[in-house]
Amino acid sequence: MKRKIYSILAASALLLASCTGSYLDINDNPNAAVSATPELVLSNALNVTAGRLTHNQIGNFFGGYWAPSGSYSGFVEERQFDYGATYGTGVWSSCYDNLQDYQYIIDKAEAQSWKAVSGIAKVMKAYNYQILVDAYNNVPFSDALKGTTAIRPKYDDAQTVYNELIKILDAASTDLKVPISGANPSPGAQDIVYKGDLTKWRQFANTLRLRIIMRQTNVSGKDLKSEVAKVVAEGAGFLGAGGTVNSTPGYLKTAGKQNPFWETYVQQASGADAGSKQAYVCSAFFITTLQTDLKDPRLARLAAKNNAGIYVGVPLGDGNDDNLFPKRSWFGPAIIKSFDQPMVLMTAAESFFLQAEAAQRGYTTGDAKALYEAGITEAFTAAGLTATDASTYYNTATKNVSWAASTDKIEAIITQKWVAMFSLTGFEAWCEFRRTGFPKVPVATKAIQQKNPARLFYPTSEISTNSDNVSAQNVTSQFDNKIFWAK
Amino acid sequence: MRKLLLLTAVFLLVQLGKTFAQDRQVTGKVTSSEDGSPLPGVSIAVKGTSKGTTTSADGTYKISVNAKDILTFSFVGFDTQTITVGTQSKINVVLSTNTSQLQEVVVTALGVQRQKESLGYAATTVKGSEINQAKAVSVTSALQGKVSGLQINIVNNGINPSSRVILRGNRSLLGNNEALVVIDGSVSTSDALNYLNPNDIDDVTVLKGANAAAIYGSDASNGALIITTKKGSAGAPKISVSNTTYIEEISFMPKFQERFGGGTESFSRVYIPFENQSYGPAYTNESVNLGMPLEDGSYQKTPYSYKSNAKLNSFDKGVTTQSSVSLSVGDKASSFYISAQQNDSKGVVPGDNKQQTALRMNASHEYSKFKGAFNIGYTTNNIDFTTSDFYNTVLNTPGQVPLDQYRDWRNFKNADGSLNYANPNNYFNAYFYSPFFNKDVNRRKEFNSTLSGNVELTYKATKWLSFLGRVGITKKDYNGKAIQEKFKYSAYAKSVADFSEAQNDLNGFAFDYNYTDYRITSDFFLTADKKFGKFSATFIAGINNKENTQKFVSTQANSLVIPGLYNVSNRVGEAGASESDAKTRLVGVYGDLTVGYKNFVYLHLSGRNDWSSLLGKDNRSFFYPGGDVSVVLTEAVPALKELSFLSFAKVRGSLTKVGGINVGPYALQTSFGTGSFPYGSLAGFSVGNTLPDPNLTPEFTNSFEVGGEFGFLNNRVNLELAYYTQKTTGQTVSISTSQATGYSNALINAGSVQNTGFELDLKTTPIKLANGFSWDFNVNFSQVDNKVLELYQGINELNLSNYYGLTSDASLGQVFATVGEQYPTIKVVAYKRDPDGRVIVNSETGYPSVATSLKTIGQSNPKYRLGLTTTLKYKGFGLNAVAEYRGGNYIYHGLASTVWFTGVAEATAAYGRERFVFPNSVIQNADGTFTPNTTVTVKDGGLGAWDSNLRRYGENFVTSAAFWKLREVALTYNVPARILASTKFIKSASVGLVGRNLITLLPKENLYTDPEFANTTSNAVGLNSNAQTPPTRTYGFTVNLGF
Repeated sequence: MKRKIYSILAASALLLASCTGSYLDINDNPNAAVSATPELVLSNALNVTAGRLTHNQIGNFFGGYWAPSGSYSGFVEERQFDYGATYGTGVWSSCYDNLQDYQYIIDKAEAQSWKAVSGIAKVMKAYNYQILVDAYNNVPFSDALKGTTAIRPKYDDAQTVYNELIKILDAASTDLKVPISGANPSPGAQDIVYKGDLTKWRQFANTLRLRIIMRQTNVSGKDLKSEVAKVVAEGAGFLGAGGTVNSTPGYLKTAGKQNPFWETYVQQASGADAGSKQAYVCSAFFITTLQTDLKDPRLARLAAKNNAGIYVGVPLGDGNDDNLFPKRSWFGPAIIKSFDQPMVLMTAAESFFLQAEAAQRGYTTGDAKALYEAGITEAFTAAGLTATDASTYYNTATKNVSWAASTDKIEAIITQKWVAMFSLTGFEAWCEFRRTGFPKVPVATKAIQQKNPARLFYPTSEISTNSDNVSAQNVTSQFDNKIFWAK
Repeated sequence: MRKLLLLTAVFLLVQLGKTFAQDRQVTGKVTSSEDGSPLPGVSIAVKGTSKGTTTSADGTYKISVNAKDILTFSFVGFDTQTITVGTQSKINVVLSTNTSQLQEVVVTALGVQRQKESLGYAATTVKGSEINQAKAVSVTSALQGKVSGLQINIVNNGINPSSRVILRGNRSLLGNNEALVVIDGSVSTSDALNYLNPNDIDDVTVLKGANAAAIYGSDASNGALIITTKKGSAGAPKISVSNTTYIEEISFMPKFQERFGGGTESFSRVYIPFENQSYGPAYTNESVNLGMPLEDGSYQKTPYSYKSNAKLNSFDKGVTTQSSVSLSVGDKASSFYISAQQNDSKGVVPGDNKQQTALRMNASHEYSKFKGAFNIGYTTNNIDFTTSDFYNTVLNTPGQVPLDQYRDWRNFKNADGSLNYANPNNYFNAYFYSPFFNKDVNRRKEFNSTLSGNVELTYKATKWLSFLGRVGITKKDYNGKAIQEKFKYSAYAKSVADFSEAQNDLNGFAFDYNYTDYRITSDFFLTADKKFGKFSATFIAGINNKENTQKFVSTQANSLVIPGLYNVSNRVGEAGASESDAKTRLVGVYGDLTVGYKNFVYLHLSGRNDWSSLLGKDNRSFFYPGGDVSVVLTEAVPALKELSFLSFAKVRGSLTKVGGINVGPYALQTSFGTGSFPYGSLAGFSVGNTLPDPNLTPEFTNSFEVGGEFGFLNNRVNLELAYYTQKTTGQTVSISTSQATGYSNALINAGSVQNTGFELDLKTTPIKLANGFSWDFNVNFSQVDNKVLELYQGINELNLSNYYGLTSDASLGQVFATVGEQYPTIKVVAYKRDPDGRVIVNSETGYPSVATSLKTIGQSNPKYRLGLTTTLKYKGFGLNAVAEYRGGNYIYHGLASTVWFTGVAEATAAYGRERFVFPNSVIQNADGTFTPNTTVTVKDGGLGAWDSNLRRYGENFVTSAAFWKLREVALTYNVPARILASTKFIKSASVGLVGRNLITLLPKENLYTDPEFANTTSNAVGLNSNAQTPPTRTYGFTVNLGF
């Protein structure tokens, strides 16, 4: 009997060893893809970059455009600049998450010499890294995006990262010059920005490069002029009239598929008010600047009248019931269009103002005045007004409106750029304010220190996962620990 | 029946006549004192001789004796009785249950029964009668406070509560820590404790450590609850019928301020009639407008005063009726048991209800060397409950509002033509829905069913060798629909500028889902049981196979067209749809050997090898061994037996390793998401954020345990002690990584957690009188130290609450696993403090500011638990009570932040809404030193301080999580048999009053809620929220009849 049992056991053990193999090979994911071609990743990556709201929302507050309405209490971060490492964490996480997708595209595309696709991804890599530096100063770059091989990535000096971004854009340009062919396929419709138009991508890359260069005007010892010359020499030029970099995957009137700005601030797909519909309105500073200082006809396009039929904003820092949403000016029809309006990566007006500043500073031989006026015209047409309206406006002898009437040309350029970028690229407005001090956005009345915010803190997630590297940055103040290019 | 008895008597007479005078027959019947049921297998010995017999299946016996003989009746689990025969010819014996658990038989792994004295590990058995003493609705609540080392948290008191059952603390950082549940030998799922009919439970054996349960495989590293359901017992059919009706009522509400009504101005106290915050002026009792101007030009009016019971009265008293019936019958070869139970519950949230039906069929039959058996349970639930945050809106409504008057909101006008203030168009609050409206328009209905059972066949090859094959299935189906009713505000309501909520018509939605979980487990094993001289040996070897299959499918319509039609076709916009599938397999081979020397040393060794589909080919096979020793000192050292006070003593020790897999299916590869794609024909994918190590290995728990069991004073006092230490290493952890790595998480083997604990179970019978009065008093105590020893490469913490999606980086209170700290640990957003710990305030505003890093508060899992159970019996009366204390831990009250936001919290009126100097604060001087602040008051003592500033510090919302609870009280009366005899058909009857959680005692600082109510069954325990239902107490009346 015993022997029999042993033999049965031995036999079943053998049987087990032989058949468990395939019996247990059932761990292939039936629910989600585990690999994808680079152009399939490109569409989503672009959509995420363009749809990112957090950094622009912060910029809209700290850049002087927006204020929280009195319909909501709280908002001490925006009203009092009282914030810590838990504020704006999405800027960090979203940029790096997005960068990982671009890195995946670059790696996969370069492996098969798909230059068009890798070139586009490189432009966007630089675009994202600039946001990171402009929000946090030193950030992981050389060690970043390497998964567990560099699980606590070291931080690179912000200036070094900026220098690297110029190189990346240079490499992007090289890639983008390779003509489309069978071996170098066009991303086509997966490129939701330019549908594979590589010349336009080069113009965007050049303008972005100009933005990065011009950001460093306060940095001593930089030869910005020769840097700008290299961009001009690239040959494709900059974003021109009507060249605003728009992105749309074909937004739908479905929850989660509308234009994110619309879905967050205006209306849900179901028709109900968006979650943050009544939370944010124009600041008193923005309304006053346009209405009183600039006497700007764009006011009616950028802002809405309140329930008493006038334009009135919330003083930065205020939050009582006088400032309830219906009593204050919301955003106007040039900002709030429809669920399928495109998201803006960079305005064409910004391109002209960057060129105007470069010319004004003598970095190029361009006509600063003409470029400045072209920027205003571009901003007017983007806001739904005409070139004639624009010329009437910039020929009115108002400071920071007409070139001639503006004593400080840089102030005029930055002020007009600020108006042009209202609400849609608020982060850039905040950056330029920190660089130039223009326009003169007042400190919020209830701010914990009488200073404007200079940066974000490294997020809590980074403090808990990469603590040594974070503490080495020694960031203790949102007001005093400035970005390397700041004024 | 009478006829049969008569026949027996005649038969006995005949028998008697045949015997010698000095050696005659005595007959009788042995029954249990507990329920009067016959006891088969009771051994009857004639003292001082080798003569003896056992009772038959119907409890009867006969034995030849002479008058001087003394008979001893003994049976496992019962007190031994001795009776001098004398002249009696018929001796009926009622055995009372033994309070000592030491001699009991314990159902261990695989359904193998072992004498408790032979066990080298901790095992506690809770009998069915103890589970049902207070007629708990679920097994989960019935076990609370009764066993050391076993911690049960009921996570929500709603109509459909879930629970978290852990033994000896948490071992796994991000994996499963819940005890394995085994029903009749087959592995089930932990929610079984919620769907089993408690009346069907024969007993529950709690195997506290991994060592006891290892043979069940890798799921058993968390210990196991071995549930045995009732089988039909031999003898006459027994029918039991019982009915219990409970009332459930809110037992605790946060402390509210009763001085200030609606308002939201900083720096001033202005009454705003439509405001949802309570930062208005002090109550005056004058009549004021409430809400916005109404369509007919009128205003709702109310006295500006605090409406004391408006919040409490917005809840209902819940009612649950539980009806059960069972039939148990059997003979020598067969057993048969069927039962049915129906629970009808109405919740404390108006309109919430649930119907549960549980059926069970257990039967077995022996034929020659074969025995076949099946045990099948089927439970269905019909649940209808609101998905809105009823509790939240009730809590936060300003005090002047007569909230309980707004229950009936459907009609725009009342019958008398006046406007119905409860209707959303007329409702006072401009910013929040009426809780009654919201709960009615947002609902979920679910029908779920669980079929759980097994079929087994035993073949007894020889006297010492048998084979058993068993196939068990658990199949769960959940079919549900979550809906939102369409609602359109009137044109007038929309035109009122202040009425912000009226701008948001409800478009309605329908979310339909179907989830199936199908598990099949099969076991085949042999048991060899043999004695070799002074040695005894039991050997088990077997093979186990598990396959789990899950499928989830849902469809969603986000905006409905025709009101009242909740189907995905009735929509505008794109339909939502999702599906996911999962299948896993596990094969295990195991061996288990117990060797006993005489009856005092027992050595037990076990080993198991598993192969899992969840891991890569090279890592899927893993082996884990264990061993334990038990020495019965009182048998080993005869001198100890002579000590009059010591009746029993045993020491034991064990050493075990168990492998566990805490990886989900398909987790070894990064998966791609689709973001918000597709947009029409345009596709998009995104690289996932978790980077898995494809070579993941199982995590291993090494445990060491020593213990002792002692009986004193003839086992009137029993003491069990256990000390254990467990270390779980190489855990599978989805560790948060710097997002700059490109990933937010890496799934790797890392980290170790150590649990060290001490357990004490003291069972005493201080009083046992001849008149039947007895008092039992038991104490169980558990202490556990749960420490994170290491994580990964200098990463010192793991954010658990973020991992489980309960919080974000910005949340005021979060739960972590931190190296060197207790697991889990609560951390909060804190005040910026000077080196002496004083809060630094702004020299102008008087407000504190936020510290740059989170502050560690302490552990969220109780460090100590104390359970007290007591039973008083006198004649037919019985009083049972269970009390439990937990302490040494903290809770973060998520709901506190909202009651501060709205200003209904008592704390927000601490300074009468006047400006005040922040207590123990300092002002930072220009040179970096600090000066105590005695003069700078906060700029605004109302909204500015409490909502806008102080609410941002999580440290304001943490309290001790200690509590005392009177878990159960049951007063029962068993109607004496002589009264029942007159009914001719009722064999037993009892009535009782039962109560659960009648008293909860909390520390003074806890103004918010019952700390047992964490908002999660995940490992991130320590947070609550206002999306739960408030704690309740229940009391009721029960009637039990036996036929």
